[in-house]
Formats: sequence, C-alpha cells, structure tokens
Amino acid sequence: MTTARILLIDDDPLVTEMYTLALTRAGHEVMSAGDGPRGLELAAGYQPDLIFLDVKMPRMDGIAVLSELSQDAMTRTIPVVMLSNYDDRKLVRQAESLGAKQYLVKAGTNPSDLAAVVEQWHEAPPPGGAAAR
Amino acid sequence: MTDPHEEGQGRLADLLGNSDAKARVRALAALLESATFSVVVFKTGPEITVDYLNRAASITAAVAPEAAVGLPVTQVFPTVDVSLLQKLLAGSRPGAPQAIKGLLATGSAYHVDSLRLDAQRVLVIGEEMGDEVSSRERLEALIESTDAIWRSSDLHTMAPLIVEQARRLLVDIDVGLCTQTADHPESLRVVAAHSDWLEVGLQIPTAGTFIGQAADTGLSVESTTAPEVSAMGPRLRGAGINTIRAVPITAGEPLPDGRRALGVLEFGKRAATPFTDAQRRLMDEFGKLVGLAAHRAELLADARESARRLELSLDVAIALASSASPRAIIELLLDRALVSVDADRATISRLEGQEFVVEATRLRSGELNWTGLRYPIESLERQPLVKRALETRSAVIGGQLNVTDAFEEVQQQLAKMRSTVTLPLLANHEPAGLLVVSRTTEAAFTATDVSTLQLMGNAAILALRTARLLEELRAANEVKSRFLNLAAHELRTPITLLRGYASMLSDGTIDAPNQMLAVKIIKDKSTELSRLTDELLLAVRIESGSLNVEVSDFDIVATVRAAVAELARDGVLIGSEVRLIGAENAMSARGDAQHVRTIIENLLRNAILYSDQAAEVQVRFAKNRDQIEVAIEDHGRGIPEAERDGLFQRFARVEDGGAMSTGGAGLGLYIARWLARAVGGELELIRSEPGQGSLFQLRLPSAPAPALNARPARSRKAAVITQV
Repeated sequence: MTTARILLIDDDPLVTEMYTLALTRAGHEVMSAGDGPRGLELAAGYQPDLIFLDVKMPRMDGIAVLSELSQDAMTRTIPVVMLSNYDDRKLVRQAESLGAKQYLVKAGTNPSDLAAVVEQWHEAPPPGGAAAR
Repeated sequence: MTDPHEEGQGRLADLLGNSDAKARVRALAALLESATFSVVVFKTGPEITVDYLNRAASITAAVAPEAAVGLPVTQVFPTVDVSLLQKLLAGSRPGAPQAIKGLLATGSAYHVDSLRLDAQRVLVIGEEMGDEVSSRERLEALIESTDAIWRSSDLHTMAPLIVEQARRLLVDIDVGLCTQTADHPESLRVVAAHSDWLEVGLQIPTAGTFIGQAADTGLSVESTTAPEVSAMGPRLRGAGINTIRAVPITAGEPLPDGRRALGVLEFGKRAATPFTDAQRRLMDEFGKLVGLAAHRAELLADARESARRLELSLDVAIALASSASPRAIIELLLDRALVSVDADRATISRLEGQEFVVEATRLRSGELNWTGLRYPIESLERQPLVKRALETRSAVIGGQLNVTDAFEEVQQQLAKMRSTVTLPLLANHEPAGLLVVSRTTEAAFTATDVSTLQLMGNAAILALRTARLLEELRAANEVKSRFLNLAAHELRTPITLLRGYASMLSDGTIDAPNQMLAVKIIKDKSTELSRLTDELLLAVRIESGSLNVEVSDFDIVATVRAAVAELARDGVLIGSEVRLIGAENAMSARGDAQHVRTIIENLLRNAILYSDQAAEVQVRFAKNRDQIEVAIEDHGRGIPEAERDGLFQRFARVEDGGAMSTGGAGLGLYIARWLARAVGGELELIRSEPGQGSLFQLRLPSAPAPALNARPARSRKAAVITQV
C-alpha cells in the first residue's frame, strides 16, 4: 500500500473530520477545504493524488468546482471522486461528463471504504496517460 | 277571436309540419279563410259530408261553421242541389280541376270549381258569377304555386316561379318581384319580372314609390294614376303603365333586422282602372302565400346556418378541449370567435377569486394583445354591461363598455365598435369568465351568434381550467420531487455520520480516547435525525391537510419555557443564552399549545444556528389588546434582503450563512407560520439586518376572561437560562 495525498472538499466539518480520521488511519496524507474556492486553491497548490468532492456547498457547488478543476492545466489530471448525499441522475451524469471518476453517496459509504477507492485511482495510469474513466 | 299573429304561426306550423298534400291543402284552405269566395271541402261516400268550410261559405250555411264539420251536406246547405253536387264531385279527378257554371244552390248563380284532393276529399270553390277571370285557372295556379314554391329554399330561388305563377293567376297583368336586403335599406331590387318596365337588377328607391310604401307599411297600395305620383313616374309613363298595385310579401312576424316585408310584388296594367275585388284578393292572398313560403325558407336557411355553426363550434370545442396550453386555448378561441360570427374584436377575461383578469384581445387584423390586467371585482360596478351579464348569467346584446379608465389604444379600438355582445362564460353553472365580441358595423348579434359564441366560450373556459390545473399539477409535482430530493439529502447527512462513526467504532479505527467523542456525535446525530423526521412528517401532514389543531387556553410563558428546556436537552443551547423578558406572570393565550411550542422551538433553533458566536436570544412577552405578542430577537447573521420574500415558503434556506453548515430541510419557518395561522395567530419577520440579527414576532389570540389561574410572580426581572 502506497501513501497517497488526498484532498477533501466538503462544507460539513463533522464529515471532513470523520473521513480525515479514517483516511489518516489508512496511512494517507489528508488536507481538507470547507468550500469550493478554498478547494481549488489547495488542488493547485498541494497537487493531491486524489480529490473527494462534495456537491452541495454554499457559494460554489461541487459541479462548478469540478468544471474548474477540469479546465485548469494544473489540476486537469488529478482524479476526482464525487462524494455527496445528492444522487439524482442528472447530477451524476453531469459529474461524469465533466470527468469525475466515480460518484459515491456518503450515507451509503463507510469511511473505511474510501481507502479502497484511493487504492483504485491512485494506482491508475500516471498523469498524462489515458484520461478516460 | 284568434290573434292574427298566432293564427299566422299556426298556419305556418301546419304547413311546415305536414308533408302530405292533404294537410298542406288544408293549411292552404286556412289561408283562404279570409277570402270572400266560398271554399268547401266535401267528403264523398255513401253520404256527402262537409269536411271544411271557410268563412265566406259559412254565411250561406244553415248551421254554425264550428258545428258543420262532419255533418251531411243536406243539413249544412239545405238549399243545395245534391244531385248536381254529386255529379260535380264524381267528375273531379286529382290534379285536374274542373269548372261548371250553374245553379248549384237555389237562388244564386255560381262559378263552381272543384279539385279532388284524395280518394275521399274534394275541394270546391264557389264564386258568384260575373268575374272576368276564370276562377278555375286561379285555383289551379294557386294549388300549383304551393307545391312549386314550397320546394324552393329561398326567396331568390322562388322568385321566377312566383312571377310565373302570378302571371297565370292574373292574366294580362304585368308583375315583378323585388326584395330588400339589410345592407341596402334605401332601395329594393327587382329579382324576377314579367314586364317591359321592370327588369331584373333594377334598383327601385323606397322613397316615394309604391313598392317602398308597401314594404314600409306591410300593406298593399294601389293607384290608377301611378306615373303622376310615383318616383318611378317617367319609367311607368314610358311603358304606358297607369295602374299599379304593390303587395308586400310579409313574414309571420317582423324580421330580426326590423324589416316588415321580405319583398314586394308589383302588379301593373295600362288601363287606368282599378283592379277588381277578385283580382285584389288574389294578389293579396298570393302575397300571403308567398310570404309564408319565403318565411319558411328563411327559417330553414336559419336552421341550416345554426346547424353549420353548431358543427363549427363543436369542432372548435373539441380542438379547445384537447389543447393543453392556456395560451393556445385563448388564441384559438378568439380567432374562431371572430371568424364564426364575422366580428372585428374579441376579448376574453377570467374571474379569479376577487379579481377580474383580462387575458387577451384579438382584432380582425390578426393583432393579438396579451393584456394580463387585473381589476378588483368591485370595479365591475362601473361596467353595468359586464355586471348584468355575470349576474343574469346570460349574454347581453348591444350596449357599450365604459372605457373612460382604459388605455388610449383600447379606447380608440372600442370607439370604432358599433355592435357588441357580452357573454358570461360558465363553468359548473358559475360565471368563470367573460367574452366580449364587437363589430364595426351596426349589424346586431343574433341568437345564433350568441349560441355559437357561448358554446365555444364555455368550452374554452373549461379547457382553460383543465390546462391551468395541469400546469399547477406539474408545478406541484416538481415541488414534490424537489422536496423528496432535499428530504433524502437532509436525512442522509446525519445518517452519514451515524453510519461512519458506528462502522469506525466497530472496526477499531477509533482508538479509546476518541471513542467518547464518536458516541457523542452518534447521539447528537440521532437526535437531529429524529427531529428532521418529525419536521418532514409535520410538513407532509400540513400538505395533505391531515394535521389536527386542538384549540384550548394555555400559558404561553410556560410553553416557551418548555420549548427552551427541550432545546437544552437536545444540546442546541450549548454556549448560548436565551432571556425571557416580561415573563413574570402567566399569560393566557388561545391556540394549540403543542403547535405553539413547535413554532417557538423552530424560531429559537434558527436564532441559535444562524449565530456564529455564542448566541444571545431574547424572548419578549407583551399583551396588546386581545393579542399576545411574543418577540424573538437574535444578534446573529441576519437574513439577506433577497431571501426575505420567500422566507416562509417551503424549502427556503438562508444559504449565505457563512462557513458553518446549518442543515435542515428549509421547512422550519414554513411550518412555523403555517401553525401560527392555523391557531388563529400570525408569524412575521419584523426586521433583519445582515450581521446584526433578526426579530420575529409571533401573535396569538389571548384567552378570553376569566384568565387561567395566574401564577405567582417571579422575583427575577428576567429569567436567564444558560447552559455552558
């Protein structure tokens, strides 16, 4: 198991705290952002191996964040996994079309499951390779 | 005495109602009732009986005319020569009139004409001898006229036939038939003629002519010095015509457009001698006969037109009913309304609660204006026409709308309208809208126009209702699915943490020092989940109308204290302070204590959740006349102006609250206001400033005296409940 650098973008501090705890225990390095703009800043500066992105956030929602991530050369290749309690079909499709690797529902995911998700995408082809899902 | 009008109607009904020749001839005989020559129908058989006799014949009868029918001929006419009569009747064949001259009855010399009507009946006309014109010919022509003329569908088709028959009826007399149309009241047009001085297409002025006089008065006019007195003098003189008789062709009743005559028959001859009485009677009777036939034809044409309109309106009604968009329905209705009744302007409005909403106006030019103007229903007091239509629930023909308050454009449009119909549109027998249709011409709207418009209009108003209901349903569905999405999201938020921490506790991810923290989060989130569930359930009950409200007198101060205690138990008040001011004594309010407690809890929870630092919330009690006022003021984030309008609607949530997530389904204030109103009170946002805080006020009816047992006054000025 390799150590990955993870960025969590979520507006609920209790949720970030819980996931941080679980991912840290799994041996990963975690940073968190409480809103979209801060998330974009960290994504560019911190260059994480994987981003977990919430959808419903004040000021800037997850879809807008994802769109900006995919347009910025600095962040385009970072795999993004959506992690939200909203799961209507339209949102899922929108996220997929913007390049999200996976769409997970928080209430249906145990914190320990996130480690496996990290494994999957961290060991995926290196940046610049086939960017397909 | 029968009313001549009723009699005419009766005759017409007879003529129209019976298709067999026998009945028609009876009706024809009725027409001859007023004739001065005798008409008798004899029934042949072993004994000759009288089946009918007209007024003239009854003069020579020995018994009263009412009693004569069915009696043997010898009893009715004791002086009649029965053997001669038998001979006459035996020789009569259908369709072949025969005439004899002789002493049919003792003392009088008669021309006697007969015609077999059927196997048993024979019609006999008797006229005192001395007339120049053969009554046989006349009878024949009259009988033939009926059948031939009867088969025609309108006066114009009949015209040549009428003239031809009149010629046969009145040998050597010129004849012409003129008709009048509603759009050219100043002249009559010759539509058929047999003369040198009248030609088809000629327009004869009504002023100063015999024809005009006959048309205006509905009475026959005659002159032997026609060239001198008629405006047509030169023409008559040129043709050498001196004597003229103008006979009006009258309908049973004046026409809807005010005309008394459908047309005029003009007879003329060279000799400056009056027409004989027999000729006059024949002319006048013939005029009446033609009038009946023409009137019947007009009625038939009208019926055909009504049927066509009905068919058209049904088509439109079907098209309207299958249309789902209110705009499409309105457009279609106005469009078809204009075309179907040949109008120039149509406006549809609807009644919506206490408002009168003008939907749209269409002009013949195709211009369509979506007005959308709303007027309070009281303003209809100034529109007597509209008021009358709505009150009587029936169309008002004529009149003018009061346009003094209208836009200039509308005033100009309406100033051009000369004829208007105002129709109430009914749904379930109740007025639901109004259709106003106008023409730039004076032509009044007819009963057929009204029923056409009524059918279309009522179909449209029903279709509009359905379409609007569908739109509301769609909107409601959208709200429901938005609600479900939001509800699912809000429920999943605490579930995420419950599940997450529970799984981490069980798989050992959380070490001993952190375990208590995890348990506390699980406890808090369980409470939140349960509260959310209650809130959702309450909202669903409100929406479905199944929420019970039990009104009783209760102490509002105690209720607020209970709400504060509940929040304290849930841990919401940690680090916050709630001050009760003016709470020394019990205050008796009227309402549902349980619901009021929910209102207070929602308001306090919001005040605390939307405060970034330790919240300081004040609850002030006051009694104002017969109301209890509870003011809840915080010094938290406040509500941005843009969000205040929809604050009490479902799913409203103040999103710009800062970094901290507040959660909630956005139902708290919606539920709180709904409950406040349900218990006869009101909940309002009195003021709010971003960064300064908000002040909400709940008003409730106070309980009527005697009040609840007052509690002993508390010693403290303000009750402070603080939990750290």
